[in-house]
Formats: sequence, C-alpha cells, structure tokens
Amino acid sequence: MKITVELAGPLHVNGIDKKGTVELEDGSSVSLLLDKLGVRKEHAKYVSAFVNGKEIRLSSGLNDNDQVKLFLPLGGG
Amino acid sequence: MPRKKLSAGNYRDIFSRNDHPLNQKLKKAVIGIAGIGGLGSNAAVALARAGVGRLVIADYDKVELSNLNRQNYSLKDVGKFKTDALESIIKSISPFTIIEKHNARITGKNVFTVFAECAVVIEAFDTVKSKSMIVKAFADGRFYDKYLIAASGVAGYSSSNEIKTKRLSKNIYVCGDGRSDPLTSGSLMAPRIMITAGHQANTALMLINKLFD
Repeated sequence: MKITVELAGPLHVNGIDKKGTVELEDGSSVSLLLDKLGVRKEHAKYVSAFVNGKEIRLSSGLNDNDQVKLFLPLGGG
Repeated sequence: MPRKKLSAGNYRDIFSRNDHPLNQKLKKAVIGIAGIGGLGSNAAVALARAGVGRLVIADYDKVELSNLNRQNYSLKDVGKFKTDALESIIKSISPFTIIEKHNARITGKNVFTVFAECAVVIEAFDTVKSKSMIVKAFADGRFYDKYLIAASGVAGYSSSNEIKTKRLSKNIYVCGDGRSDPLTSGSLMAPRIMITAGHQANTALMLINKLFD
C-alpha cells in the first residue's frame, strides 16, 4: 500500500520521495512506518501520529492512501 | 491605583482599546497555561491584557536568575514559585482576572483534572517529554472538545517570519518554526520566545471568539 507522510517537526527520516509517498506492506502500523523511515527509538516514543486529521496510537494499523502527519515536538520554552 | 478602589468603570477603561464584541466572550473564557516559563508567562500576560476572565496556570518551578532573559519575571521574583510571581504580575495589570494556581508538575494523570474547566490550553513546557505527553492527552476522548495550542521550534534568533501557527488535527495547533532546537541553536532568546507566545495567545483569542459565537 501507499501512504503520504508529512513531517511536522525535526524528524530525520529516510525513504520518503519528494511527494512524501512511502510504500508499506498491507496492515503495517505507525510503529513499522517509523522503523522503515529510520526514526530513532529515543525519538519514536515522543512522536504523535495524525492520520487523516485524527491522532492514532503508534500501534494502530494504516490503510492504503492514508495521509499521515508525524509530529515530534522540540524542547525549549 | 489601589485595587480596592477599582470599579466596573475601571474595568471598562482597562479594556477600552480591546475589541468590544470579543470582550464579553473573553470575560467568560477559561484558558489554561501548562508551564509558565518563557512561553507561558508571556502568553498569560498577553491573555490577561486581552481580558480573559480566568486563567489556570500550572508550574512546579521557582524563578531563577537565568529565567530573566526571556520570562516575564523580574529580580524581585527570584526564589518565588512561578505561580505566585505570575499571579502577582497579572493582578498588577488586570485585577479582574481570576487566577487558579496549580503549583505542581503536570503529568499524564493530573492533566485531565487541572485543565478540566478550560476551553483552550496553551502548552508551554520546556521538555520534549512533557510536550509529547500533553499532545497525546488532547487526542484522548476526554479532551477531544478542548483545544491545545502547542509550541515547537522557538530557539535562537533567526528570522521572525519562520514562526508559524499550523493546525495538526481537529483540536491541536502548533506554533514555532518546527526546526530550531535549544540543544543545537544554543540559546533561548526573548524576541523569538515572545513572538511564539504571541502566536499562541492570539490563536487562543481566535478560538475563544469562535467557541462563544
């Protein structure tokens, strides 16, 4: 399946084309997406994932054509 | 002017240059500030000046000298709890604003009770862990009818115009440049902190205007 990924934060990732498209095996979860993108474990636990505008758990499964926004907040304030 | 002499007429005078239709909505509004350091203290003062009726402020920390470069405190506040110092500052500007203080560390457990009565909460923590915690809390069913205005990317002194307000989901907004990190930028400077706090406070006004329509 193909999903579209948008990064809302300083995540350093690999494997996204210019349009933000990522290919995943059917039934993959957000956690598997983060693994595929090479997100470090110490960052992954603080990531919030919004799928089609709604936040979901990292263990939740993704569907074809989902639009996924990944948010990792930065410290400081 | 001593507080005891203030009247309804004084209330009208203090807020006479604000938007009049919005004044009535803000008077009824309850807004939470999670963390009252650089972002939170400046956002809280802006919201008090705007005429927000009740502010719920939460922080466990005391004012230190190293806070004075960007936080809305002064030398006389050093050593005081931030909640007490900020209450005093706000009361000296807008004695009509009701302040509810929580001198506590906000966690995934108490966040739901501390901010239970708030329509809008400003996230102004300084650690990634706390920021992430409250973003996840606002995706929880219990807070799905409330708005969170988070901040991310406020360090350094690069272009002011990089600071944006973006909508992450139905009820979560984020303000900042999305990239500057105090660990790599090496600094937290008053202008960018205050710009971001201004974005957060202004977004709160926009949401209150919409919610009380």
